[in-house]
Formats: sequence, structure tokens, C-alpha cells
Amino acid sequence: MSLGFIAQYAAEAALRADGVARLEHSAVAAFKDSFGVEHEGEGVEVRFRSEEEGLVDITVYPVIYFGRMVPEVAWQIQVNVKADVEKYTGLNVNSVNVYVKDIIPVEEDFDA
Amino acid sequence: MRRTSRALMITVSILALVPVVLTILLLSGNREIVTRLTGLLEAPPTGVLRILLLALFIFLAAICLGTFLYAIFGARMRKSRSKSNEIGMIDIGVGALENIALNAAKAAQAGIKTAKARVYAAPEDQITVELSCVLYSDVEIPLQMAKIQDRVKKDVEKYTGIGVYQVKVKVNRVELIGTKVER
Repeated sequence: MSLGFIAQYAAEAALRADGVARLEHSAVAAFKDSFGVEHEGEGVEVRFRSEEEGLVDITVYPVIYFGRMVPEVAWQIQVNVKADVEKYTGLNVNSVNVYVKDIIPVEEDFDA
Repeated sequence: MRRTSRALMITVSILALVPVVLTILLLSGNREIVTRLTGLLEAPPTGVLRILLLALFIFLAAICLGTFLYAIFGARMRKSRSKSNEIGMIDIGVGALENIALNAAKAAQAGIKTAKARVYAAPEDQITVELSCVLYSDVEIPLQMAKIQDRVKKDVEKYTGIGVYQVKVKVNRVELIGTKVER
């Protein structure tokens, strides 16, 4: 089971949380991208615990809309990612870390 | 703060230049410099000169130490605040904090044209927000800035759950409204 595949599930789950604008590329992903290599599951980092099989640590780097409670959105992301990854891959998710990279203002298209 | 740090940087860079130049001179095989230096070692200066030199070098050491401490404690916050729950850690990055403060300041509608926000660490896991902004000319600065401080503090605390120790507002420039109006 490849890491990128898990990361894609995690990214989808994180994007489903309310108030998440997008996921931020990590520096490594941006580097790979500039060479034309596609980085699977952007904005998500997956690590296997070396001692035990089937235990993963996931780090998500979201960009959140302004006006949302950041801890609440982050908690939503954690719950979504943990539930989805465990459901679809059968792995045990040890921890889901959320590192909020940036805040962007909401586009006002729905208001006008 | 900024001026002192710049002065420190200038002094330190000049100080760093001295040994470099000396080393270059030594490597270029300049006899005179070598003999002078060894002469200094064999017969150290005495009296007032010695005390003056000692004071100078202690002063320089103090400056170096000061720069070091400033670089460690005074710098922009690097490590973000993090909380952890049973699933994992939640980190709010410095850029995110700054953007929250910036958006809050703009949303206060207190005549800000452009602004920059910086976040520093403060005691007791709190943060200090520093805004430097360009205002429009029809703004009553004390009143409106108080409004901005209030808004930024409330918004940052509401959206992130991190305590705000203080909000500093610096007004850099005031610009005329309606520069496009002729005459």
C-alpha cells in the first residue's frame, strides 16, 4: 500500500471539512512539482511507524477561510481524516496532526 | 526596536570585518603585521591604555552577547502555538496568525489602507500582535486605533483560542483620499 494512496484519501477527507479552502503544498512537493514530477496527495504527509505495522501518523497542512474558528475546523479535519483513512485502508491511524498554514478571506460571490 | 537592531547589525558586521582583514593580511605574508602582533603579545600595553583596551573589548563582548540574546528572544515567532487532543496536534502557523490579525484589522473599517501584521511570542503562551499600517487622512487616529486594537484582540482570541497579550499599532504614513480627483 503506497503512501501517496493513503495521502489522497486523507486529502479528500480534509477538504470535506467545513471552512477548508485548500491544502498547502509542502516545500518538498513544490520542489518535486517544479521538476514536473507529480506529488500524490498534496498537502498531506504520511509516515509509517517503523516499530509496528499498520500504524500511521498523518500531518495535514490546510489553508482555512477567515472567520472560522480555527481549532474547530482543525478538529473536524482530524475526525474526518481519521475516520476515512481507517475505513478505506484498514490501517490504524495513530495521530492526525494539523498545521494551519494560512488564512485567506472568503470570496464574496455568494453574497452578491 | 528596529533602529537598535540595525545599529547592532552594523556594529557586528564591522567587528566581523576586523579579524577577516587581519587574517587576509597575515595570509598575504605581510611581515610587518606579524611582527607587530607578536610584539603586542610579548609586551602587553600598560597603564591607561590597557584599561581602555580592556573596557573596549568587554564592551564588544557585551554587544555580541546582546545580539545573540536579541536574535534568540526578540525575533519573530517561529514555533507556532500548538494544542493536542486525543487524535493529534493542532498547530496554527505564524503566517496564519498574522493573516487573521490582518483581516481583523481590515474588517474593523477604521480607515486602514494597507497594513502589515507581525506576531511575536509573549509570556504565558500568549502572543503580541504588531500592526504597521498606512491610513487614510481623515482618520481620528487615537479613537480608530483603539477600535482596531479591540477588534484584533477579540478576533484573534475568538478564531484561534490563543490569548493576545497586547496589540501594538504603528502608523507609518497617512495618505490622502481621492488622489484621483483633479484640482
